[in-house]
Amino acid sequence: MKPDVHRQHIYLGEPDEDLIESLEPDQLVSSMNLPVARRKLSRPVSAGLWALRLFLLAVSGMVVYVFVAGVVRGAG
Amino acid sequence: MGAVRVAAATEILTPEDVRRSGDRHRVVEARRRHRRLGLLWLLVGPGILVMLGENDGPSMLSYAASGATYGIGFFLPFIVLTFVAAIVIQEMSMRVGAVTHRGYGELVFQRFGPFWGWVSCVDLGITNLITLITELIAVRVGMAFFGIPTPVAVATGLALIAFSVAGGRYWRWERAALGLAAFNLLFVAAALMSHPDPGAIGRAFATWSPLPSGSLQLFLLLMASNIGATVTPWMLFFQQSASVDKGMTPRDIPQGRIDTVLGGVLAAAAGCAALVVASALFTHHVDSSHLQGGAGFAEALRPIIGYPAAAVFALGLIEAGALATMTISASTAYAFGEALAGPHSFNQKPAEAPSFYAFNIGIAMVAAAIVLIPGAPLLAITLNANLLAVVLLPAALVFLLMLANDRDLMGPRANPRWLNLAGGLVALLVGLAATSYAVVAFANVAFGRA
Repeated sequence: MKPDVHRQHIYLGEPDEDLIESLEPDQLVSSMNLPVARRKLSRPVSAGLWALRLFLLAVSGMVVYVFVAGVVRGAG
Repeated sequence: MGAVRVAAATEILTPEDVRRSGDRHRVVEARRRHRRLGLLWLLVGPGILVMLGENDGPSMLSYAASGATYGIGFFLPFIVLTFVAAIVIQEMSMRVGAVTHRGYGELVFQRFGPFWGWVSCVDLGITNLITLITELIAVRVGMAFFGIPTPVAVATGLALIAFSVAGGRYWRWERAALGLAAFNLLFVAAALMSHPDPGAIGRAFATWSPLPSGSLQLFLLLMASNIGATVTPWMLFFQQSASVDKGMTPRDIPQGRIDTVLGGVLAAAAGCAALVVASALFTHHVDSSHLQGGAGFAEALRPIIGYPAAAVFALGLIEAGALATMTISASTAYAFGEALAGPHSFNQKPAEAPSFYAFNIGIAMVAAAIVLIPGAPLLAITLNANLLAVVLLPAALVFLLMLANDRDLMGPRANPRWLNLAGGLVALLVGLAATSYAVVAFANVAFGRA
């Protein structure tokens, strides 16, 4: 890390400089709050994510059905 | 928030920065003075917590059910294998957090858009709520062994969360959780006290046998439950966010790896121990199919392995539920804080981050309310909690793999090819296990096949 870049993050007064210099500049809350750029998903990747999502919803539906059937059977 | 403008720059220092810098200062000093053990002590935490946190109530009950159903055999090395998979996945999670300084939920939101971000977050919220119910059930089951009533058990779980978040520092929260996590090894003590057959354990690890026999659905249920007992979506959210909150940087990745592997080894030992203890039920032909309710396994084990060992097992269950209540609540708070672009750090005091702490305690309170409903299907929830997590895991793994391969984010610390193969294989096997169980169980229930 360049010292001049690091120096930009020194806090005036308390806490002491050593303490604040222990943080990397991109660890500061002000830096972490800057969003990273959105990635453009290609069509095959988007299609793959959607396919996976729908597949998992179908499997989840089966698990929930088995769960509800078990509860109903237990109650009966 | 009492932010302070910094000289000669537009950067703002917040109280969160100042608190985190205190922890980082000790890390920098330990590194400068070449104190290797001291450095490791300062940097361990998220890995051990995520692994021992996942050795939670339903997980330990799944391992115990495997031992009680099939004895010492196939599932013993299988548990170790699932932890190897967990280490592969969690290392990626830690590395992405250390390099990007952003949590998993935050990155999915920002990199793939709000739709996928909310989908991931809602998946997590649902599975976490269900899992938290089972954690409080585990605390209740463990305390029931000692005659402690349900409301007291549930209130104790909630009080623990309230106590642990009161410090306003990540470091304090982490060390309190680590102190509690040490008691996960009570399962190892219980296993030793139950005097298992070392020859059977050795044969199981060497030959993966005896193989399970009998109902295919039961075998698939236990296999999927054991996978769900080791690798789940909340772990990805938690370790990445905790690594960020701790202030880990790329230089800390080697220690982060040791932390993750150490956590995996300890958790595998405790998980195998739970199986070994409960295998006494298999040896004595005890029907274990309904032991997850009431005082359950500990009570059933009492006449076989004796009161002291059964009591240690029950104490282990209390710890498993209590620690997971802390870590899973934390993962929920991190995820929703990141999703809403609100505060999401233990380095903020409750007054500075009311929504973060509200999510943290709120989801546990909802789970507690459900546990206290008379006649609630707690046994069915316990049995299915891990399954739902397994079903939703492949989606979370795919996003993690995409993030860990994103060279714009990760630069030279992106995944190497072999790690992608390993991660892809884990996602594929988890998906197959979940699908196999779901299809077989659905067919049996819907079409009336026994």
